Amino acid sequence: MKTAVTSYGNKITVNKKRVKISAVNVVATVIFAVYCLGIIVPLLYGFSISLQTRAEYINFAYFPSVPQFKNYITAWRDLDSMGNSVPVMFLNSLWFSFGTVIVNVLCSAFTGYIVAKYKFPGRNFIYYFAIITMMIPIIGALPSQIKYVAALGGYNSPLYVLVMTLGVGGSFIIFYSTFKGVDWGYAEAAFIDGAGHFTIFFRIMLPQVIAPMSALALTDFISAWANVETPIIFFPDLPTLASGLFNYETIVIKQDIFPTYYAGLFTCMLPTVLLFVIFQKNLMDIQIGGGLKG
Amino acid sequence: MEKNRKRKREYSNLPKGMRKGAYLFCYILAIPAIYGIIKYFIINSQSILMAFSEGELFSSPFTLDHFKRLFSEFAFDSVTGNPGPIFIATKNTLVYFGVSIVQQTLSYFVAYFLYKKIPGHSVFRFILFLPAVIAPVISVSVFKNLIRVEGPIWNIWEKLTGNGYDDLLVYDTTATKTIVAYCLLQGFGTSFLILVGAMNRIPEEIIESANLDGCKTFGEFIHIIFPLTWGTFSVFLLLTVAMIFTSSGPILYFTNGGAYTYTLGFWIFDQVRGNSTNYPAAIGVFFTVIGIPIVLIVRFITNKIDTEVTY
Repeated sequence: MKTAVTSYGNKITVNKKRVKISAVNVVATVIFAVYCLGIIVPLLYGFSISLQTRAEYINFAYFPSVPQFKNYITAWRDLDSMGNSVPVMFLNSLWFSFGTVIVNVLCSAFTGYIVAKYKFPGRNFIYYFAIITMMIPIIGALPSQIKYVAALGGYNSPLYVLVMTLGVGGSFIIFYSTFKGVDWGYAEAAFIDGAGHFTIFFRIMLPQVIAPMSALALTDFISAWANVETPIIFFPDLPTLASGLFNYETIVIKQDIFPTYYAGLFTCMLPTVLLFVIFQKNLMDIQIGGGLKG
Repeated sequence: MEKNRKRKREYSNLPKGMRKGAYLFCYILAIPAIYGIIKYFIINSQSILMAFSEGELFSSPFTLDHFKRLFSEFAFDSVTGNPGPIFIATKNTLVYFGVSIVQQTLSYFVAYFLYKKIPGHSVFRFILFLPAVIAPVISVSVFKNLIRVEGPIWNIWEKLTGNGYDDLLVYDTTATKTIVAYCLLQGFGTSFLILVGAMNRIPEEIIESANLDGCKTFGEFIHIIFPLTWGTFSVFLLLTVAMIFTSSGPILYFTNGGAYTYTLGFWIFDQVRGNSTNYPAAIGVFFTVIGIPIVLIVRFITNKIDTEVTY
């Protein structure tokens, strides 16, 4: 039994749905538990290395005798990639990740909304363009992309985010199907009250999709934060934490300073894990209805 | 018919003055999309031109040499009998494509059991998404450390079999298999969450009435859950097929392409890193052209199966 409060302030008791314990569920639970251990144990092992001394690591210790938290300070102070310290790489990760999220989510929301809710010349073209490019990705456009980015001044510059991310939006289809499901009656009521199109979009429609929007923002942030290939190719002189630490691995292997390196890696992981823990409920709201029509 | 009626209801209710303003509003919001479309055509037409030219665009003559080279590097060497690099890259790419299909299918079952709220489902959901949160540069490094010679897994293996193993990432017989094992251990991305969302949207009444009619777990899955979530699942299947020639594992972090582990995507990335541009562009154009009919056929099939059910 669970107690809930209605919008009128009355307390009601809700019967919580009971989980059926069947043989299939028990087997599934065991399989899930084993699989999840396979995910968790390596992370704990990595974390353990980040707290070991160099000697403990070389001698294949599983756990540190005394946790070396100073490894984290050493990582922030000593690790660098082509003259860029960890704090600098951290800043590079921030502009790249936040820039990508803001541009991609807003572009997807703009396009998804107008295509789902308005009728204007070119609407179908945008819709089919988005669907076709999603279904048929052009392979090997990387050399051409570099020339394009360089021509617009985005090579080795934060301008890259604007030059390459601006577009129809990678999450167009999710916003399109979400806005399709939002009742147009709200907009009509607002029009009658004298609201304009922008007011309706930003103050009425966008807040209604805030949950899937924040979920998409979170997934975009995570993938941008983890991206190594893009910084290596498009802004090699501005390494992010992920690309910088990847570059640093060769030095780590030579000098066998894995504990410090792992402290750096786990620092890199912290922002995304924190965001995930805080916003994990929003992530469960990503939904797409129907198939790809047209 | 119903669709048209719905659309009419959406637009015709706008006051007349608003309809004029609507065009301006739409085109202002469409600016990023218009830029994206122009960018797409510039980048891809440039890529096609690069595939057919030797050096700088517009100043070097038309050539088919890149495609001749592609075919020669796809074939087996007549002297040694070894496969060419493009053949190896294609073979590895298809291996990772198979892994993606397996992962998509498994993610559907994972979503189903999470939807059925098996014991510990919220903890499982959290942990299963965790690999998607952690940068591959971290998880691969930890995985490499786990399987290193004289590392934890090696020690367990030695205790079980009496023998250790050689470095798994050095030999072509084990390197790709090791990366595949890592990929299978890396969860299911966001797809299983979206599938759970789709399953949660199924009205409870449908499930309850089926249960009252004597429908058991298997019947419920086959006759209710699967048809009602096919639309969402087919999108994932189609997107996976669309990535057929770009499928890859984290090659860069594991071997940097060594031990014949490179895929087409990695090979192109590696060539571009080495300042080669026109030949990778030709390879891209070639595999895009091959990929188009495959995607269209799969899309035709998925649309045929589509039950067109809305709920």
